[in-house]
Amino acid sequence: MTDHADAVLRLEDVWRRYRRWQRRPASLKEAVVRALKRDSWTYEDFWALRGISFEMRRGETLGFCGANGSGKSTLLKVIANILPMTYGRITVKGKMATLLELGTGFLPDLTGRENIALNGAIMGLTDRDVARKLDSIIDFADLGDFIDSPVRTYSAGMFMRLGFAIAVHVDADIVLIDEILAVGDAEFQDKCAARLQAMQKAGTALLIVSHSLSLLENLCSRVIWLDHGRVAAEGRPADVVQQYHPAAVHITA
Amino acid sequence: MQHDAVSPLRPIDPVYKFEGTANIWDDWRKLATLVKHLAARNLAMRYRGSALGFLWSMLNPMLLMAVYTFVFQFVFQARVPGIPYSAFFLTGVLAWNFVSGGAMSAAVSLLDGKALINKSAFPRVALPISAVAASAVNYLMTLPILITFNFLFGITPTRYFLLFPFAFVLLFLTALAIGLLLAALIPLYRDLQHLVEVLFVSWFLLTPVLYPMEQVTQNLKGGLSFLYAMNPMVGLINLVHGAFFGQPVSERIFAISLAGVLALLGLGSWVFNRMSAQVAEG
Repeated sequence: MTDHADAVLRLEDVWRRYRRWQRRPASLKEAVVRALKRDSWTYEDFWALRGISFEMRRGETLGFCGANGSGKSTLLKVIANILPMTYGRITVKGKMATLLELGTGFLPDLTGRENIALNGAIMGLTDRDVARKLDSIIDFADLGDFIDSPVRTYSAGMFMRLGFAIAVHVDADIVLIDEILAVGDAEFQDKCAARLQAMQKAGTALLIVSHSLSLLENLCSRVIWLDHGRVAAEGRPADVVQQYHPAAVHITA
Repeated sequence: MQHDAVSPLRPIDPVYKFEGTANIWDDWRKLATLVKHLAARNLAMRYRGSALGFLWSMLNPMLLMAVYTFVFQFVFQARVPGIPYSAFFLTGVLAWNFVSGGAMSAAVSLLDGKALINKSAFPRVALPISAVAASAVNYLMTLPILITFNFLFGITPTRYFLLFPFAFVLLFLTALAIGLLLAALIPLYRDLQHLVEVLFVSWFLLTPVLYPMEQVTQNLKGGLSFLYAMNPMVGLINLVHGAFFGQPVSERIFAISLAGVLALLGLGSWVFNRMSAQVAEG
């Protein structure tokens, strides 16, 4: 099938389980005592992802919607190989950049500038790449003097600006973005949308998790509704959004 | 819709396949870059605001040296054949501080770097490695002073000094091995930290820093001597002394200690990987 040859990302029957062991000992003393008393170890399984399968091609933008706790963040982390899956096969063709929880990959005491190098390195950039792109990244983030302040002083929006600026400069083939675009101010959101559209034209595949139904409809060619870890619906944004949130009021400009 | 099924009928064993032009070197290069950044950060924080900051890290060993020289050389009348006691002690204690300091720093590295773990594609092993690397850089910076000090006591480097790079690598691996082991356990069992601090004191006394190794091995019978040498620091410190003072190094003891280092490294790596997998699971 020629389709497969174009796929930059393919998931086959991916499952992920969180196993919570109950009453885990907090101290070495407790662990030894429990071992001597031969207490039984019990656990509880929670399946965050159940049989997820889909494919993405070059230049496609795939959106994900779903209730809180439906597995969207877990799915992105599994795709990015940050969390291991329990069962399934994932095939990735190309470099990945991620923009997940706010402030991930940032050390609180380092300045924004120093964190660019660190975060860039985490996403696979060499020091030389970072040095070359540093000015462009700082310019895009547009944080003013705050770029030289420790990031623990940053607001959520500032984290997002910096994270997004770094992620779009990685020259990745696949970019994963989780729920955080809404945090930027209106001006920055426009900048993001414009940049994302430019990346789409350049052939970058985008995976976006969002609660903003308008964003999903405007940017995505396809949307998947994730419900309790399963693919509940997949198809054109307007259709899937309608299934996910039938009461949604569509505001047309 | 069906969401009550809890396991796949035909589970596929997890495979994450990367197709493309990236090669194995990318991962190593990324690890090296991250270690470099984190170690530089570690050192910068240690010496924040002080231009000759690393000299302060010499101050403690030198004070110890003065006190111990007084106690052991004059009060106990201890003698190290052929070497002034102060020089002997200082050489050993700097190597010891490298390993114990590096291991302790690595032990808490996962706590300090909590913001990075499990939330981004960050290889968590970079944290303990960078902690030991920072300790290594610190140690290397004190060496010129040590060599000068030894020179003032009439000790000049012999060709045995060529053994030193080899000893340095092994010291690094020992620190890393213990660091990985502790780094894996301390986030889970917080009280371990205090236990370890006490154990390190005992470990220091069981290492020939305060006394020459021969004084122990010549008075112990075979089995006990073997047990003593299983402390990897015994053979390594002996090697360091040999490198600096040109003294003969016991190959037998060194072989036992080397085996100890490799065993520790295997254990530390295994425990660390197991812990990482468990944390990722839930």
